[in-house]
Amino acid sequence: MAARTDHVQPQQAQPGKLTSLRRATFGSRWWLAVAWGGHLLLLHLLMVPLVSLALYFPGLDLLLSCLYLILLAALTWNLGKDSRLSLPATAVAGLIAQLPGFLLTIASRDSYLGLAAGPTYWPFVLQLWHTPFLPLLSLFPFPVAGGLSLAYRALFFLSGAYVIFMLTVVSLSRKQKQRPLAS
Amino acid sequence: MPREWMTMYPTHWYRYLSVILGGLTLGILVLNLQLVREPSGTLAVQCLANLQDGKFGTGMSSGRGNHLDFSQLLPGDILLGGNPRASYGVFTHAGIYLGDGMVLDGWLDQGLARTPVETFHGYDWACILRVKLPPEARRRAVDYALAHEHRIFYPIAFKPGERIWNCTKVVWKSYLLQGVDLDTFHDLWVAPDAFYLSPHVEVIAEDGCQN
Repeated sequence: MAARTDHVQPQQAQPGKLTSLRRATFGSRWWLAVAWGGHLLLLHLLMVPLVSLALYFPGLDLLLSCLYLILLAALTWNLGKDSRLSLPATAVAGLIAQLPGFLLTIASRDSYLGLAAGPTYWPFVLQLWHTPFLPLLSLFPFPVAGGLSLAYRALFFLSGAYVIFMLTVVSLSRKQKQRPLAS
Repeated sequence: MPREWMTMYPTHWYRYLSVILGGLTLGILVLNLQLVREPSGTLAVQCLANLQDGKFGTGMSSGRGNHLDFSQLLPGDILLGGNPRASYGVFTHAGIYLGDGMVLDGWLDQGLARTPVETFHGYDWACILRVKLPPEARRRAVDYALAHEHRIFYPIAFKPGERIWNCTKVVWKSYLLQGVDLDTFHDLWVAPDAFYLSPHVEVIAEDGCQN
């Protein structure tokens, strides 16, 4: 005797006005991009004091800096697996994650261009913001070119490099996903 | 090993990283118990107290400069400069004299770099210190400092390590390797004032200094 199953249909939520609005807002790829950007921003904010304190234990700072890059790559790789996030949406996530970095770069531009009239602390804050990458930069000596150290110049491009890194990892992740399975 | 760690949401990582952050803080405090016992004298507490008084960062130069006599400088001498309303002491900058009118000091935009000694005339007050060591030892200190030219600058570089520097750390480390610890405060960082108050140095010349 076949069991009757028609009376145990799973209850489905009726999409009311509020649910549709919520889905449109919080379920959209842009909201997802903002949420991921916020998470990556928090992660970076946590890494700043972490790496800064790790400088007390030479070697550990390098380890944490590498861990951060690996973590960033792994999280971004998973981001690429989410079909709701397009490349522009990923770029938005990266821009949000590095928003303070971009703002500090703009605030410090006079110092970079040699136009700063007096002492400015924005470049110091910019360097503090990029502390998680500092141990990797410190592996190399940086000559002075045009009156500025190349390490100092690099600070102004790190936020952009962060977004490019994210886009590269997401692209690679998508390519791997599309690759047909071996027979 | 399963790849679960790769697919974890960032919130999981906050937890792990916060634990590491706590561990690092605890580790540094345990290794510097003398600072925990008497925190009022530490550089960090001093900076916070000065911040409340409106003193911030490297201070504000009045623009009048100083007239420090550089004619007595010898390689290995320490130059200090300072401006009013600085948060971390009377002196805010340090460098080691290399000879031929050049100093090795640390700047954010140049890293550890050679600069003309005249830059110290830009401070409201400045002084020349000589470490009580034979000239050969002072020459070795200069050689050590020069070996780290072009290295990266970080304003809050801790004393350990040889990859990341600030202006005082390079001077302190150069002389520490000659057997002299110039850090009178025994703090996590070296303040320029620690050199001035060190019993291992003599003041050769100073100008504009208020105390």
